[in-house]
Amino acid sequence: MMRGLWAAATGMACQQSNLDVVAHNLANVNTGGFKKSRISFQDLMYQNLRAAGAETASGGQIPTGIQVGMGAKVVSVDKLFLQGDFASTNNPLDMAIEGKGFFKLLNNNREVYTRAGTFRLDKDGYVVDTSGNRLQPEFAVPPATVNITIDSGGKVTASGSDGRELATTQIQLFDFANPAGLRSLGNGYFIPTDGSGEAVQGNPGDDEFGTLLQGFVEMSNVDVVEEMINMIMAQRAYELGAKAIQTGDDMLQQANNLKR
Amino acid sequence: MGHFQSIAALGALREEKRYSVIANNMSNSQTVGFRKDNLVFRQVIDQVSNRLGSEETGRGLISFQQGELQTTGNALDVAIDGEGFFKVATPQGIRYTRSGRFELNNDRILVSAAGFPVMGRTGEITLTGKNISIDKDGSIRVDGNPIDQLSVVTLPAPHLLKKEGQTLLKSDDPQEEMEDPESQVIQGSLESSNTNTVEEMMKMLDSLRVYESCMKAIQSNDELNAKAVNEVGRV
Repeated sequence: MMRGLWAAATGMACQQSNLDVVAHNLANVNTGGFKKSRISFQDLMYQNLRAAGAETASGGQIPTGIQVGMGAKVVSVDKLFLQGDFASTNNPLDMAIEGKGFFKLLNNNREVYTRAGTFRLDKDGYVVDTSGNRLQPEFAVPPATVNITIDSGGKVTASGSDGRELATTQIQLFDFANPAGLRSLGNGYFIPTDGSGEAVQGNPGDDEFGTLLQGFVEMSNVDVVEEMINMIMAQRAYELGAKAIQTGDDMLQQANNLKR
Repeated sequence: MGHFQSIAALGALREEKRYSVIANNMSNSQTVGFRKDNLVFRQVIDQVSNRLGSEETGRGLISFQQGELQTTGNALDVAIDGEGFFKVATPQGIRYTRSGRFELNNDRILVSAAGFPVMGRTGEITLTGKNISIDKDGSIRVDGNPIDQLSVVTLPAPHLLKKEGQTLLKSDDPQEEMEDPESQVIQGSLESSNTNTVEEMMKMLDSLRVYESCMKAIQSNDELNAKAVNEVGRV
């Protein structure tokens, strides 16, 4: 049957995935620390109907051959770790990372990484995220603490009512050579893969690591207008594929009608 | 089948190919750096038999028209404004591409979306650091320190390039690459596909109608034959 029918169908399949990604991004427009995904397409292989340089019947040489493409495919859906906006919360344990880096948490004895810096204290005084997973390295705030300050370099100071320092710790950030290669687990958690490379540890503000902002959370980096435009493009491109299939169908119908 | 019918059938087959090329262009209307194909046919008369034919002179032409630039804001997205190509090193050799959707792999080497290293003037590009900036001439700086320059080259005969899929272009015969001072590299942008949907729709309609005409021609000829066979000999 016609090559073009399949080429058009692959294009439609791509746009379907495109819409899936847009829908997921839009659903998380208000999820703190969420990083939007991006889909990328590539053209599929080509069928060489006539090779360039071949000889014609009259003895000449064909300067350019005929290549018919087989359509498009999805090559990657990766996370874009662009900075999200900051929202002030006034919660002393909320931290936003301005720049690169992830917090490390222990979830069911597994190390996971996140950008969502909404932290609370659990019943034992440990710093935990909203799902109750402890921030690594673990830190317990003494019970007499009244005031917690976190500076941009990640130094946490817990002080009592008389202003005396009760405990201090240093928050660690972690970064990856290729954050786009991290695997998303949902809940804003990521785990490293072979593609992302191993986690590199460091203090906020050092080398490549971003600085911390106390009392702020990083919001989702989804841009609604951009996603709407992507959605329109996906819909129209899908329509285009459908039209191409219709045309191919018309052609085949005419061929079939030759024999009456 | 008569001579007339075979010409019409050739025409229909030709349109089917043209349609497939158009469908492929349409499927890649959202593919970054994609270059559309045009299938051009010329009618020739075979001198010996005086037969009309069009198949022999079919040519596929890749259009290197500039695609629109989309701003993405990613440091590692780059677009070329001009005629140059990026170079990527695949296991099969150097390939050219217009797609500047790059990222770092786990060794911090700059790679294309399919994972092939992007070539700079001095080979593969390794980037470690915070702020990556790419100038218009392709010079890459990390935290202010110059690292390398993206290799953006023009070729004497880009129309001889062959498509390989993955938006890669291959040159069968090595061509002399020239550094292109005219091309500008734009950081934070991607060049979209140069498929023009209106144009492709027009071409598709045209292709469909020509196909239809060919089918009609076959049919009419068949009717003539039917008359000749069934009616001429009738007494």
